[in-house]
Amino acid sequence: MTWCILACMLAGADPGPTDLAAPVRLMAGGQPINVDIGHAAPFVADLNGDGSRVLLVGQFGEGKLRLYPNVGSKKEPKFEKFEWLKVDGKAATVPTG
Amino acid sequence: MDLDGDGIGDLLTGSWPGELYFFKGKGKGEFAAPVKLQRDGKDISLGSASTVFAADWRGTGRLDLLVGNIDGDIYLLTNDGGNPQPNYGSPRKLEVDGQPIKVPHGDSQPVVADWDGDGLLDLLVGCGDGSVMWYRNVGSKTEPKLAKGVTLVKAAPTPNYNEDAPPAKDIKPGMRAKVCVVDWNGNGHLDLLVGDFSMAYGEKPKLSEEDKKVEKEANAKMQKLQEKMQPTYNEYFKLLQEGAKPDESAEAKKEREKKAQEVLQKKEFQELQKEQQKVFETVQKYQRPFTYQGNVWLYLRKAPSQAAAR
Repeated sequence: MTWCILACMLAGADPGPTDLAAPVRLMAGGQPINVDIGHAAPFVADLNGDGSRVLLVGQFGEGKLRLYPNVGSKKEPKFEKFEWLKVDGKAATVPTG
Repeated sequence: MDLDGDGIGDLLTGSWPGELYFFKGKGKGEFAAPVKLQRDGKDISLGSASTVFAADWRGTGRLDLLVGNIDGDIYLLTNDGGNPQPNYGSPRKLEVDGQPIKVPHGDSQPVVADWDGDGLLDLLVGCGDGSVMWYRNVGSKTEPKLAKGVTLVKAAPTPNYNEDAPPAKDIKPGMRAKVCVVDWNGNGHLDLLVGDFSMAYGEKPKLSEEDKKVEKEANAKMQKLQEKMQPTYNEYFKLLQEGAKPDESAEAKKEREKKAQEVLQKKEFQELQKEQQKVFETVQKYQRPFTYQGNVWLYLRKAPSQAAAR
């Protein structure tokens, strides 16, 4: 009984660090995000310094990086189209082989 | 992350050859052309398929680098000061109980975050087998010490071609996990994003009796060609290995490789290769088509009520 209460208290205090929900695929424009030649590498950042977050997804294809602006809210992020990360007006790349 | 401390976010990335690239942020989402990160005037490269994360790992107020690679190591390069080009210390492998970390199936990708909210930065690592490991910091802010790894996300099944492989729409998380720790839904708890690599198979084409005959013949032909080509391959590898020495000069190595290559350039062999390519195209027509996939999976941390109900 004591054990149960303790366990419930602990569980109620904070979701455990290993308690993860089943995975769901992130979507953009109603389709799963699926990068060229696979090897998706996601990151979330505020690139403009205005508090709005962007989903960045690196890919193997040409070593390019996709930027998906959040068109939803902070609590419910939503994505439509992406742009390539650009340097001097051209898609930036890193070597892939 | 703001690597150069100018108040504007920068980007850091690894690369397939191994060098690390720094994209300086110019503000408003714009970036300067990438430059390679250096140590003592030389490009930093600690193995291919490199990954990199900058974090104040030792509580010095400076951003150290954590670097992963194809071998599954995690290197720490301490930032010993200096601006805008930091002085990085010599790379050393992060350890657990005195043993260097080697993640399952290589392709380590380190990420630093206070995953359990105890005020200390932990290490999370995306692994080649698709798993995500959590190494809790049981040391202090200035002297991190890592506990044994805990599996947060299980490894993916090996993506071999087989009749039971699911179609693309039912695809599951794959291998070569790349992790981002983020409070995705703004509820104050850190969640995981995991990018992957996998193969999605289409339907096996319906084969008529005629197709089956052609497929069988093509497979037999493929094997015959392979047998014909094997002696040349054997010779190539023999030449490639002959005379290989640890202290060999770059020129000698080049010459040796050139000599071996010449065997493969012979006309008869080139023709066999062309024929093999043609037969391979036929064989492929009768197999399930596949595509490379790279999806992003969201693992939300369970809400307190959900966790308690377990």
